[in-house]
Amino acid sequence: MSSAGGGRRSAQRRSGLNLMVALAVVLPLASAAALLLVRPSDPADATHPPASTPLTAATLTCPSALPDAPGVALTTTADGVDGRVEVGLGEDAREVPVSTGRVSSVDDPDATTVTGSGDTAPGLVASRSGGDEAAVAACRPPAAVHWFTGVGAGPSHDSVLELTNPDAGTAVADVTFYGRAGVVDAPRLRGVSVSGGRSVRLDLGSIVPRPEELALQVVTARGRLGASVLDRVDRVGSAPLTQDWLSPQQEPTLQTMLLGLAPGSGRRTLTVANPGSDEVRVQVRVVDTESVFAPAGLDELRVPPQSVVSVPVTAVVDEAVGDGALGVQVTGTHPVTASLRSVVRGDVSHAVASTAYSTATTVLVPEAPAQGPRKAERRVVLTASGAGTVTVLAADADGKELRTTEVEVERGRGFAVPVPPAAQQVTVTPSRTTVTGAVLTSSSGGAAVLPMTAPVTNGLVPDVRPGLP
Amino acid sequence: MVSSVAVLLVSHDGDRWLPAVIDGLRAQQPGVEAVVAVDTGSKDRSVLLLEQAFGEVLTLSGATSYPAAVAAGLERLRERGERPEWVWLLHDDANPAPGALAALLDAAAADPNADILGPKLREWPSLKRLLELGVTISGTGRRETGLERGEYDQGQHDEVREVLAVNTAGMLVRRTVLESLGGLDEQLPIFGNDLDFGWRAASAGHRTIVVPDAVVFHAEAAHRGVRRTPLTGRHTHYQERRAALFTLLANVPGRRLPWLTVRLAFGTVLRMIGFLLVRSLGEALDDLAALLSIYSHPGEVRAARRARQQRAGTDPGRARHLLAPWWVPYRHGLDFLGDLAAAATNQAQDVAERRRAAAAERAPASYAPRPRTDDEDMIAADSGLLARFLTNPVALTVALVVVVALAAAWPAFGSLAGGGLSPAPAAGGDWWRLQVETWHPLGTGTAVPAPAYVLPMALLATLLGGSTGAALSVVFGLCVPFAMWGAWRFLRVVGRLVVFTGAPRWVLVWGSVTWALVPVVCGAWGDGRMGVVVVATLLPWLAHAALGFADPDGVRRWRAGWRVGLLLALAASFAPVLWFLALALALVVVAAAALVVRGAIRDRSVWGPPAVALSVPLLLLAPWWIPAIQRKAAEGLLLDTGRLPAPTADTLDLVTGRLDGLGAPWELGAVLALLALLALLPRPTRIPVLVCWVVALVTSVVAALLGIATFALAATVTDAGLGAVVVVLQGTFVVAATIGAVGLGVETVPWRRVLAAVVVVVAAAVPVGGLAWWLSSDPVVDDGIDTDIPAYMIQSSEQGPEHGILVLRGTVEDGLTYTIRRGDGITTGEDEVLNLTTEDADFTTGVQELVSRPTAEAVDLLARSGIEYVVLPAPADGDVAAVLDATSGLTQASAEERTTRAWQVDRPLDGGLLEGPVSWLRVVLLVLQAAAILVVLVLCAPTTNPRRQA
Repeated sequence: MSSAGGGRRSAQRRSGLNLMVALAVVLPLASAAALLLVRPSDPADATHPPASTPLTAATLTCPSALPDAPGVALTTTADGVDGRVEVGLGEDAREVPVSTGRVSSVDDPDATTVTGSGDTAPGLVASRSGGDEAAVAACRPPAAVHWFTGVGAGPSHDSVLELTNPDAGTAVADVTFYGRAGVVDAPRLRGVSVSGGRSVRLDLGSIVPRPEELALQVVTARGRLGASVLDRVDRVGSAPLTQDWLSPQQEPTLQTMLLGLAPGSGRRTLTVANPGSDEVRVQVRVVDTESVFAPAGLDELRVPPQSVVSVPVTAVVDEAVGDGALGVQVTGTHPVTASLRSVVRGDVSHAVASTAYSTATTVLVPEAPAQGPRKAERRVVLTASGAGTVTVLAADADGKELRTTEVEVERGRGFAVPVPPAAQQVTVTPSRTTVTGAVLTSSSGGAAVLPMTAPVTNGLVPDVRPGLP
Repeated sequence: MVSSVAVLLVSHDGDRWLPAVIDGLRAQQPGVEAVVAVDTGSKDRSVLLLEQAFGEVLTLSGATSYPAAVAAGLERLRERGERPEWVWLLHDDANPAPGALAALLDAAAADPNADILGPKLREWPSLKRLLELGVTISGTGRRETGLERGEYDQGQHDEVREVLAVNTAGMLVRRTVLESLGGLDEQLPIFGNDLDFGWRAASAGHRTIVVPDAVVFHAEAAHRGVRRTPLTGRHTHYQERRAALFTLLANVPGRRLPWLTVRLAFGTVLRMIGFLLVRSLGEALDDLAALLSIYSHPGEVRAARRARQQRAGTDPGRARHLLAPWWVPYRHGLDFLGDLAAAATNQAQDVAERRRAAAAERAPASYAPRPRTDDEDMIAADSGLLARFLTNPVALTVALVVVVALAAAWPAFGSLAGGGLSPAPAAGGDWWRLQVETWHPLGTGTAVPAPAYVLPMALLATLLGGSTGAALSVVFGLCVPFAMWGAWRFLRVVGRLVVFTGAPRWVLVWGSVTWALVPVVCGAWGDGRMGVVVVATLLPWLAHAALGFADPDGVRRWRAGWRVGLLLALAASFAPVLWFLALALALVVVAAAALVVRGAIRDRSVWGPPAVALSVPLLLLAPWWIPAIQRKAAEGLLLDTGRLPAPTADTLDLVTGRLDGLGAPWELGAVLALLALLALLPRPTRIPVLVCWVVALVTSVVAALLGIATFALAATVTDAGLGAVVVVLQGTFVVAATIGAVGLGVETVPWRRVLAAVVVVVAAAVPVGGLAWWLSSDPVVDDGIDTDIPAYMIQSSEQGPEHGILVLRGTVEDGLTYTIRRGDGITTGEDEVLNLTTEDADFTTGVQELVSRPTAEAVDLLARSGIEYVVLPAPADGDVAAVLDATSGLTQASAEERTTRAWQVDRPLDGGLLEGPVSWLRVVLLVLQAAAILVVLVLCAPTTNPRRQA
């Protein structure tokens, strides 16, 4: 009897204990399970790209002309436009007609601006050429930052920086020099003030005379400025003075493609500038029609922080060009700017980086003779980011099509598309890919490289939203 | 010669006591011949009894006052032609002892100058306790007997002495004196006429003595409210107080009257506060009514004074030495405060004791007295406090921890800003303004209400002399010691609830230090997350108050409900999520109680207090959450307070008690979680530890639910605030580990003891590691908030809200963000308002127009919104700067840094958009909140047993 009762009691106690033990196991597990469900959301994506809006006003600034070549060539790439633009700085502006597909020309020896409004604003393209001198420069819109790599300030290699202010108010620029041993102190170039509608020419050789290769960063501190550099090479005693414009690079990049190597043998100098605070290791490769390869004899470059390294690459590049090289690819561990200067047959030309584009791009080049002693060759040199098709259209000043070429492009090599020297408009239309390219015009008198940049067709409206204080 | 004595007995509904009084009278030696019995409208058998005893009874109406009855009795004596030397006044509840009259007459013979004699009054029915031996009045009108309440008569006051007055019950007075003074003052119908009479007698030069040999037993029926007459009504306190004020004002010398008038008014306010603190609202109102009644009829006092001055030979200065000493009212005040303090810190009676006492009452056999430990033994009187402190290792450890905590919190005593904490506003008035205004000139003007914690911070700042920096320093600097104190109290009670010996002191030290360090090691302190810090500090106090729900006494459960409600409101104002957590916990606990104890749910005092505790925060925080929902800022109900971006917490963070990426190494938190798990092992304490784990489970489920919520605010996307949840979870782990440690202490098996020792060493690493980390850490909250705006612009913006600064950050490629800086910038309390304000779409469109294609209208919009400067801090996007440069209406403004661009708006400043409509809903809710806070504070005050003086 008692044992049965005792058994019942102990059974109750055991069930009571079991409940406790069960709870002691279940509760922590359930808590852990509930906590596992807590998953904080990922931080919000911080970038909000801007929206496009039709462009209603566009400005291009052109450098001042070389002697005997005061013309500025203009056209518009927008469809069906027949209007007028204003050419000239300040009160000197005059109206010039432009229409789609036709090249207009106006003479203005000084630094000048081309202003389009309304219909003529989108797709405005202009350029200047050097006449007898094999040189060509595109007129670009004012930008906040310009980078010029490979400028000189010495007796044999000198550069002239020209700042053009298209607006009515005063503009101020800060120019920073990078040299072999870091930033060069140039107090006269801090806060260069350019009055409204004027342009300022700064001869670097007289402001900061230095023998080495330099790089320039021009930052617009106030207002809007267009900047251009006219590079002069004057080997004292031996060859006549040769000049060409040096195109700017928009910003330092990890990979820079320098396209447009003048054929022949001469002196070639590669200049790499590192504006960052870490040392950069730079790989140089040659791009030709078959591949991109690292040539023998060209080691990895080490560029100290905030400095410029310039390397004579004559032997390597001359040989490569002889084998059909189209350009040089500069790859760094941190963003750098680079340019390659070639002095071939007494003429200087520069291969600089250009921005990639995926829409139709037109550049204006001067007409060159196809026959005769100064017979010229013209090609479009380009690389692509992926597989696609590129259409190269060459037209003359009246818009008559001279040649259309379609090329299948792919990554990993360069492409050269010959273009009739008589063409004054060269239009490159990529499809399904982005391309980087330049137009190389070479003759017995010299070579000129014009990097291709897409014209501005849209305005950008930045995305604005409230932020955290 | 035997003096002739006439007895004047006034009765009103006194048949309960009259038989004994009549017998007592008859037993007097020498016998009493002349008795005048006056009855004032009795409805019981008093008239009959008196007629049977003394023949004729003078019956007057019920509205006759005592002085009038005495005067009528004297008149009757005169009518009867009797001219006794002495008149002996008696009440119908005053029973003289057999030798009383004889003793009085003997004393009169011994002291011929004595004109008024009074007996020793003892309490009836106990017959042993002293009531009065002469009375006097203090400077505030309080009736002073000089005796303790309920003092037993042991002959300690047995000498004849002169007093100001004696009670009319048993007063032996010369008839001539009585008549010359005009009898008792009819302005004092029931109470206080004896004091006034004595004062007048003393002023007139008569001497009043008290004769302790004569004993009269007095039932104090009128004072106790046992006997109600039409004259007393139900408010005896009102009548007594009015009488006292009248006596004072009528009898003081003229030159002290102005000061006395002011002092009585001020004293009444103090007394009212005192009565409110002990929840005697009726007496407080009675006091006020008495004061108003006297002051609104100054004619009465003036007439009384004139009557006294006109009586010949009066010199009020003669009574001066008989009044109570000047320090008596202050001593009463100190006694009252001491009673309050003792009640608030009453250590012997906590919930555990009461439960045990209640259980002992129900089953005495199960009651085991708690063994007294050394620290409570008060008999060690030889060693001084300091010696005991220095030889007590626990006390030394705690003191050391407090010193280290204050040293580690040193950055808090400077200026605090950084991380999640915006800088403090310039003065406490700014917080008050933020709390009270319904439209804030922040951003482009917003009606989102100020966060709820602005009110307690404003009160704290005002208490500290209007310094907001001091308020923040107090919160951040003293949070750890304060939390330690609260945790100690809570864990001590928990220990006693769990085991009747209580928790060992070292376990309490470990538990309280670990809990106090939770806000620091989770990273909230270093990051300036004030909400989490305050919640962590208040949580042990809240838990301690919540233990009151387990009290056996219903009244104390309700009081616990109010206290928990107040503390929960305070904590929820800093972290609103805590209220939702409390709601979930309350539902679970009440449901569990309903399941476990059937029928408990029917008792309203079981589920009522938790319901009250949950409703009080809703009421007290109403001016915040109701307008917040109205203004579409309801996300604030589930977000943590402080600057955004707020730190999140994932699973590992919640388990180890850290906020994302902040705080001490997570391994210490993992050790604590492990200890809480191991606490489930010891069998004796398993049930309380399971209760802790139930709380942890509820908290985890709430965390899981909160983890789902993501809110898209105007400026950013953020998750629900989990800071309070982290702290609560850590708290439950600490409590579980403490209880487990208590259970572990009972182990006797040797290998288990070794294991216990290992666990102890590992556990000690948690608080020690936390403290070491804190000392070596470099808190972000000390860094300050950098502002990239030029200094002269900040100075200009401090002139007024219309001098705003529009700050644009970002690039064209990645998007631009804008903020508006007004006044002294975003300060504590303004973050939440701005974060929850919906985007002003018109203004955003205007800014977008400004940076892409500026027109004159865009600049006008800036001017209308009260913007004076536009700033692009370094690194400024050149394209945006170029566009703004070309805008007419913006002129260049200089900046110290070249890469910071700034422009000044060239239009007249207009603050028009910054003014908005007054929200009457919020104003009404603010008034309601103020009233509710006072009511709740009164309801929370501790029960006191104030010493009453007879």
